[in-house]
Amino acid sequence: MTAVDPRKPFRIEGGGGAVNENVSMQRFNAVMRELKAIRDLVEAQRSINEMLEEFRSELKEALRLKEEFDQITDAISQTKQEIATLHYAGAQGREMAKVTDELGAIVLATEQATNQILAASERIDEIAGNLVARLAGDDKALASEISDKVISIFEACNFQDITGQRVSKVVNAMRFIEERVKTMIEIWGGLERFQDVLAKIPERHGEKALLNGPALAGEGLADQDLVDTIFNAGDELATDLGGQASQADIDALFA
Amino acid sequence: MSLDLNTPILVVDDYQTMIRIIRNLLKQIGFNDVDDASDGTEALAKLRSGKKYGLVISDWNMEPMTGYELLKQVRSDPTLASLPFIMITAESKAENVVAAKKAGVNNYIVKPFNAETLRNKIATVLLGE
Repeated sequence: MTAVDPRKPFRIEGGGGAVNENVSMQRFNAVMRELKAIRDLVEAQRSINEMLEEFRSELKEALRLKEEFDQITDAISQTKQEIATLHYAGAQGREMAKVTDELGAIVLATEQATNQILAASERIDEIAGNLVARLAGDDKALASEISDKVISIFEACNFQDITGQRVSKVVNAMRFIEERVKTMIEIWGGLERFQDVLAKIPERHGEKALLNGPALAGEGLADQDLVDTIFNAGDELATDLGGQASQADIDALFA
Repeated sequence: MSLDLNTPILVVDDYQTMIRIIRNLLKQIGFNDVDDASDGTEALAKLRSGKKYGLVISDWNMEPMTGYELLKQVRSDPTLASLPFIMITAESKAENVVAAKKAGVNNYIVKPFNAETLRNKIATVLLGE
């Protein structure tokens, strides 16, 4: 029987086992370090990506906000322009006061006309009453009918009071708007803040510039005689007057 | 029963044209004793002057004293409390009519009005028609 040879040890089982184990551990640690470094890099890259994404989102939000701010700025500019237009074409341009005067003129004119109608009706009624007393038969009936119709005239004259009250309401509404415009201007820092804002006052050209409607008292040509005088004097005088002229303008031309 | 056309009437309105219209319509109805005042204060002075009025026809919106205030003053004065009072006004909201009725107005006419309405309301107030 042959003796069994002792098994030849593998190198790994060799006497240098402790040394090899140490080397392996070092390599393992190195690998782990590398892995950690890679993981850190990946983490860092992920953070950068998240930051970039966040930055992109904030930038987008900022752009959206800027767009909204631009719209708000435009709206403010337009509002200021409208306020300036209302102010310069309205209160300062005396348009508002003029409109109030126009409405006052309506009331005055209708009141004068109403009183004229009433005076005439009262006289007609008086005459009809006298006729009723003097006449007989069909003629008397006709005179009575005149009296009855006069009542209709009195009734119709009611409109004047209502007209005046309605116009007063319109005037009050216009004054209210005027006050609100003034308040808005004060909110925006007063008139001096509107110096650079251009009011959108429509310009009238050609025939439209000649159409101003009835003139108020003190404006335009006071009576037909003055119109005739200017008409007969020819274009030169009329041109000198320049549009509507007051009595003082006309007197100055004739002085 | 017919209207007593001698009933003294006081017309109160701050608008002279309206006084003129009402005066003419009252004249057409047949009333011949018509006075006027331009606001509640003047009306109250006339009502307390000694003349025995039988009817007040008043506008509402006047200064310094309104027709509504005049009505309240009349109703609170024992010597005038039962005086017939008609309001003729452009104030046509229901709340106005209710307020005037609560204050003791006998009837209420909205402007613009006609002679027939005026006559009917006067008859309603004076005769209870």
